[in-house]
Amino acid sequence: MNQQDRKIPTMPSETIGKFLREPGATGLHIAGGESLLRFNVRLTILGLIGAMMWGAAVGSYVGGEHAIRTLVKMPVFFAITLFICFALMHIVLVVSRIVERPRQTLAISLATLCVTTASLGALSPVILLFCVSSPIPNYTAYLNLYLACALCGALAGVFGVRYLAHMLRAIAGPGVPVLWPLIWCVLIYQFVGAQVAYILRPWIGNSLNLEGFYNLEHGLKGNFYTGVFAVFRRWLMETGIIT
Amino acid sequence: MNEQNDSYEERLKALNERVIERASRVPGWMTRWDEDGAKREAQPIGARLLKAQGTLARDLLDGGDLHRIIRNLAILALLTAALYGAVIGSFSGPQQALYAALKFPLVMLGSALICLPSFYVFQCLVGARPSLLQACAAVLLMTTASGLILFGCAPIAWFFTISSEADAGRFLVALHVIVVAAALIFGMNLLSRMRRFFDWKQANMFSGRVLMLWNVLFVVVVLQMAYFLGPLMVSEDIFLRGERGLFIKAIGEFFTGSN
Repeated sequence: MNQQDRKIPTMPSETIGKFLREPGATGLHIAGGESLLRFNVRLTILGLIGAMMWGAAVGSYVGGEHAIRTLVKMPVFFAITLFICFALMHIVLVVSRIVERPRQTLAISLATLCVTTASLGALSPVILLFCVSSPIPNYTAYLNLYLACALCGALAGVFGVRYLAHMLRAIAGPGVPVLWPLIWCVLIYQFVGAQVAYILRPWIGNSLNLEGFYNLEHGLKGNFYTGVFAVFRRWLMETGIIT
Repeated sequence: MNEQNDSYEERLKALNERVIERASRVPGWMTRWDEDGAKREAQPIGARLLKAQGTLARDLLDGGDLHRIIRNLAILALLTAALYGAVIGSFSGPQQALYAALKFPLVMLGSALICLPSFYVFQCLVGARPSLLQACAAVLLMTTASGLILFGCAPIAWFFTISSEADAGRFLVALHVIVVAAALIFGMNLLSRMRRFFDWKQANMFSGRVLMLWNVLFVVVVLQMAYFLGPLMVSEDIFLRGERGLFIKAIGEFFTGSN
């Protein structure tokens, strides 16, 4: 990549707004590799705030105590997922010749998570309103909230991936393909994230009598994908498609 | 064959010219807003919203005196919503009118407050460049413009309210829904015009791509707030029902006639 194109080594996120609207500048800063430690610390703090806001909003359906638990669990969820995926994502980005050092991969991951959690944080007042005003215990309301949270998550995910794509393009420079590394990173994070979220459940409610920081009955065990398959199979059996 | 080709090319050329001409044509309201922007005389915020939107667009763009504009917009939105709230509640007597006058501003301004973070963050994420104050002013601009329409419709709604009997409750609900919908459409249209005006001025202040999505979000939040802070129209001798539920339930009840 042309070194002249990599100017603007100053911190790109003087404000949250500037950080959000300039993925290219963030990418160039990461490519420059200067003061990445401070940059990563700032991103972690920003991501933490967004994740905690979203966690508190999601958990508020059940009540204040559960909201505090999900407030703590949400940043843990993002952090554990990143911790587990980090090595593979770094390998993908190194093999694709986009980054050279782990700090850069960390900065890319944190920036993407920051955008996602900032979007979720921005939507948390809306979800909070629906959570505190939805009837409980009520399975339909629970499913409605589940759907609303999934939609918000999808929207935040789209913003995060879009930001990641812009960042990768700025870091890689012209001529380096970024589509496949992008797809791989997203798939890896999503694949692991679904399982981490599953074992850290309940999130929205404990309508199935799940109590505690995590469900004591299932412990930190369970499989998201077999769980989804079982639900799908049950649905097919109940509708009479299979016997 | 050649003649046919010539005719086709001529038609294509004429079509191209028409498209270019249409694209370069500036709508009349934009030039009016631009002229408004040059004016410097002080006007009340309500008059500016209705007659001189260009001056507000100018101030929003320059970021000049935004604190005062935000304060004035909030006060006007509060007053207009309180008035319309009183009209809604007057169906069930003075006590409910007072309750609704207190609650309806909460519905409008509370929704604006709840949706402000998503407005700012989404606009930033698609590359637009509003500051938080500008985003706040834009959201309040929409809310206050809606409030002015509510203010304009308040005498009509009031007349129907005092002249209708108790069995006309569903008609009045429909009337209020139509009035509030019209008010919100007016406010959203103003915001959309602001965005187009800024685009014309080549100021990347707001993005139209997320504005539509945000408008939907705002409407959903207004509906839920209205349901949550109910009852607004029918008196139940309580300030807040305190019942948790989704606004969809109320819509269902309205159409099925159940309660």
